[in-house]
Amino acid sequence: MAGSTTVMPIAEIAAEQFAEHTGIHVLVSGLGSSAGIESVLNGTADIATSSRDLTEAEKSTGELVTTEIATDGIAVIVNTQNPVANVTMDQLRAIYAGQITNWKELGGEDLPILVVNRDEASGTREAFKTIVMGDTRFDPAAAVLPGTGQVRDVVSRTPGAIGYISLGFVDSAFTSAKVKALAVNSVEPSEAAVEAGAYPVSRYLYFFTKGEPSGTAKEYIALVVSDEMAQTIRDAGYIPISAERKGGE
Amino acid sequence: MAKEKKLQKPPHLEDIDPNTSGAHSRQLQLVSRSTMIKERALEALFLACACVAVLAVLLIFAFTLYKALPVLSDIGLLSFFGMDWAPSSGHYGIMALLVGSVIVTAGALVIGVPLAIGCAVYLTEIANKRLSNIVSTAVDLLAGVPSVIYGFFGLVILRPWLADLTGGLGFGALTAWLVLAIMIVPTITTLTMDALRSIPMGVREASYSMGATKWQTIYKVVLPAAKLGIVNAVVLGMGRAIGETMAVLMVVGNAPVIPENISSPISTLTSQIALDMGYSSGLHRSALFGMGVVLFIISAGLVGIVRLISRPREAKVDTAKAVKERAEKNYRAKATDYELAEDVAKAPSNLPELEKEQEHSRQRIKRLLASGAKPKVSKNATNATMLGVFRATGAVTTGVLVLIILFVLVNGLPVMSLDFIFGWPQGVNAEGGIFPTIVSSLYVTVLAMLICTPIAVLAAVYLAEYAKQGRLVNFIRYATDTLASVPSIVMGLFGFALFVEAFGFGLSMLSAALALALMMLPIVMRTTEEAIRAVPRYIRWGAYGLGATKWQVVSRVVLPSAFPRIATGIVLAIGRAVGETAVVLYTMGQAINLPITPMDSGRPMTIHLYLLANDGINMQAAYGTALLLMLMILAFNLFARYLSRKSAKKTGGK
Amino acid sequence: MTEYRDAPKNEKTGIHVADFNFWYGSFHALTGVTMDIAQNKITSFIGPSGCGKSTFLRCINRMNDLIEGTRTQGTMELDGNDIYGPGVDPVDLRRRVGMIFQQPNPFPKSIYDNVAFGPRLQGVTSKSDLDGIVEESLKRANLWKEVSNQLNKNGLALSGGQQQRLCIARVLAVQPDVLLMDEPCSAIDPTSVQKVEDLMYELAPEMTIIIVTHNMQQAARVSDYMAFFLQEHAGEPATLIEYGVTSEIFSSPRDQRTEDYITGRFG
Repeated sequence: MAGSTTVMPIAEIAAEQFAEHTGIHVLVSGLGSSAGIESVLNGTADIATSSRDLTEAEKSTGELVTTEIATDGIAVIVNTQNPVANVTMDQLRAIYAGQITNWKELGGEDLPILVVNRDEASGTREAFKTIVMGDTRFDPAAAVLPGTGQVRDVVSRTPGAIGYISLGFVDSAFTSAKVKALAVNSVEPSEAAVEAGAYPVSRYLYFFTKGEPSGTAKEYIALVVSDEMAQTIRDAGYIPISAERKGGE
Repeated sequence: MAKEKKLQKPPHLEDIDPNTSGAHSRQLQLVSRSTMIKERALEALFLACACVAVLAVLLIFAFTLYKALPVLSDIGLLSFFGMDWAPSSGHYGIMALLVGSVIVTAGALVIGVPLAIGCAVYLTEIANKRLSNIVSTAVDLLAGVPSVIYGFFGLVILRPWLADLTGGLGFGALTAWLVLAIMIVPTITTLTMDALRSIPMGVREASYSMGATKWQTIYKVVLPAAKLGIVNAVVLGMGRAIGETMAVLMVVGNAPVIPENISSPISTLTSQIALDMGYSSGLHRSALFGMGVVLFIISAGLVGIVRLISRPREAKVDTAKAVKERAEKNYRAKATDYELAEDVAKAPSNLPELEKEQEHSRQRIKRLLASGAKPKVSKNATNATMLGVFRATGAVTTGVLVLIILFVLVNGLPVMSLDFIFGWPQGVNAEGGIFPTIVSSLYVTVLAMLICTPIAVLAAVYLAEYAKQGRLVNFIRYATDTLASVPSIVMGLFGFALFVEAFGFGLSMLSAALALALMMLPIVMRTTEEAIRAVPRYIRWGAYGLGATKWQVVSRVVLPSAFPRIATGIVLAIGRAVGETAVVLYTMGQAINLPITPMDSGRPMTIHLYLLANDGINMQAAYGTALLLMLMILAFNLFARYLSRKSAKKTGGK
Repeated sequence: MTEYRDAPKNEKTGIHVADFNFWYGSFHALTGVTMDIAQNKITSFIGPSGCGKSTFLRCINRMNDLIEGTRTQGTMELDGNDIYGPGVDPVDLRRRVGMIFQQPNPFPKSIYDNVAFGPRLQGVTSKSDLDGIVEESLKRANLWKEVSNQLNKNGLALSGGQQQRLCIARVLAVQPDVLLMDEPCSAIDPTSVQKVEDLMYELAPEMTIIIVTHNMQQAARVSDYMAFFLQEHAGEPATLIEYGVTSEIFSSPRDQRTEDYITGRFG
């Protein structure tokens, strides 16, 4: 299997457990969502992991079957000293397009906004782009960092910085650096809000297979969405698919 | 007695072809056909090996260019060199990235070159021997530290510091300058020291005996004499800076724009390739190959410049010819006058007059010396100040390098444990050990070495023993130098396109090893050639004198005596390979896996460190990996030094 | 210990040495050297390899200061000034005591720049002054005719003998009072040796010349006075054995060891 680096930790741990259960080794490569989907289409991988839904072009192949494995809210984070507590989707878009450049325009201090973006390989960026930006272009002068931890670390140390990371990583057990998650459209980011669909910047994580999953792939996917894996998924910073939703599928 | 026996049957000539040796027949025999064929075949084989480097360079260029054609034909050369880099909206202009590369390289040179030259001068000319030995060993070893560790240092230490200092994010040109400067200082220092040491002691003594101070000797004699070597060192440092990928990628902030100021994010050709390669497709990927072509041309151009300036001096004298000719004309006119005068004076050859002439001459020099000499700023003060400056640069450089070692050591040591070394990574954040990454690193390196060494050694044999100096050899040398200078990310691109995709080896040990072998090839070739050339001629003559064929001389006499130095070269190349990141990033894959067959993929330590540093969550493991990586490379380098010491002692003893 | 001839007494003393000792680190290399070197005469130092003659020569312009861990004891005076006196600047000393080395060592610069090096150090900047000095010095080193039309040629491009004469011209350009020559002819061809020896004759009336040589014929040919150094036992310091008028030492050496050496019995 190949694909999103966002989903990779989940997929890897599932692969370890899967090997323990069945003795079958599943190879996991993190290449980015698009490359993963391409690999499944051309047959080099059995399962694509993705943090975004299929594009129209990918849907039009008609070959890919979607399995939702988790939900994820994307938290907009700022430095803890920043007095701003809420942004609207429009403001957020303007910030990332480079149109709003100072915190005072958002009622904060007179401080330039230092925008931190993710790299294009990132599923989080893809999702952020789809949900927040729409057709608006990202400001190319924003810093592009290739990892969640880095974004978090940089924002935690820089007063004027703004970034976005998976909700699950806002409070991390591994580092003492603190960041503050902003409310978007006045909705505080929380698991409940994401699950309820109230928090606007949220997304699903997917597995894609060519045709209905079968054989080993099917067993593996079953393991990933099982209750056994729920805690792992939480550890990785995501929210497992709730029982109701699973039932609904 | 024993001696006679030996002469009858020299042990290394046992397999002399009886047809040619014909020692007991009275008539001289014609060269036997089989010997001739054998020698010719061997020579052809060596030539073929030597041509591998040429082929590789041509192939890299052609293949990368081929892969870049779609973007060039689709958007045209003009928009390819345009300002707008936005692959997701179909803009593939690389100008901002090119400018970024230039800015980053230029700044690194401005900071690094004075430090490196100052440090080299301090170590060779000023510092006492013991201190100089210790520091230059450290500098040598640091030249081998993998770039990903410098990048890690920049990310964790320099970036936050510069962020506080400038009020920005800390990502940008300034951080990259410092990181790259620190990185190229050991390279330039080592090469400059070589250049300074190659100047004979007598030249310095002459200067001192003329009453020059130390500073005057350094500034007026030593540095000018070493000029070519120093320029070479700087150009090579420049090549290293412009081709550097990982260290830059980790600290520039990756914004593909012309930066507003030195502390705002920026991007370079190399870092953008590394960042985008994983997920790019179609025209976007083609554009990355196009950037690879640009990088290739830049580095091949730099190699060309180095070769031009290192040419024999005659060529250089010509350039300033016009100025000199004018001056010479003046002198010629004067000279004839004096010659006449002298001839007249000498003609009677009577001593008193000659003495008078000389007395006159002596008075004239004294008068001129006196009239010209002006009281200057105290020479001793200048001397003391300048020596102080050199000491300071030496201290700064040493200090920074020590800081890096301490940084890795202090943070990494607490993590060290058997579990860490022999354990497997566990959980989402790769807690636990790093065993599979160690195995992957060593596996790929050994494989690369096995592929590279035979070719490199035989190629070197051809260049040193068989080739006639001429165009072909020159071309092979140029190709080898170019291959050595190909930025590692370009090698990675090429490896991905050829081995992973075209040959279908996939992301595997084999693909990565082949790419690494190409990278190691020029290093091993060069050191082997030097080693072979260092074997004294009389040893060869001795063997020829006993009637050995060329191949027998090479295989029985030359290669064994050159072996320790060849081994040194191989070990050094291994050190480089273990520390390499950009080459393996897209040829080996990144899956944590214990490789068994060459077709397995894996994740080497360098990439593990890079990913951990990027995720920024499990820093403990990152420090531990960095420390282990550095220790391994230091071990290889120390081993190489030990080997070369041993061989030096051996030859010295003889 | 040392056998002295009375000869130098008739001369003006250029360099006065009394009970001079020298150490490389803990190795005592020279001991108890006492001699007066005649001004504006040629003095040769002879002796087998390792007898300390070159070391002693390098003490006169303090070149040994450049080697770590060296130490001296005793008196050495140039025109009555203590060479090793407190506060004496070795750099300044070396401007008055020029040196020619065994291996010709021109700077890798043009002939002109080689000769102009010393004057420039002393602050001569005017082009016409420098031109004059360069020309006179080269003429005095008997090199002018050979190189006058190629002053911009690299000094290293000259032949070995020419290089050595270039080095002499370089020293002459700063008009030293003393000229030290450390085996100046051992690395050049016989024709050039002749030229260098002629040059020494010509220079002697105006500067004190001290030459270290392995070649006894040369010592006999060129020098007015001769000093014989010897290290009798390995590991022990070398010293001055006999010193006097060259011709007298050759015709009737007083010390047995001197006789052994000049008759070729050892060394």
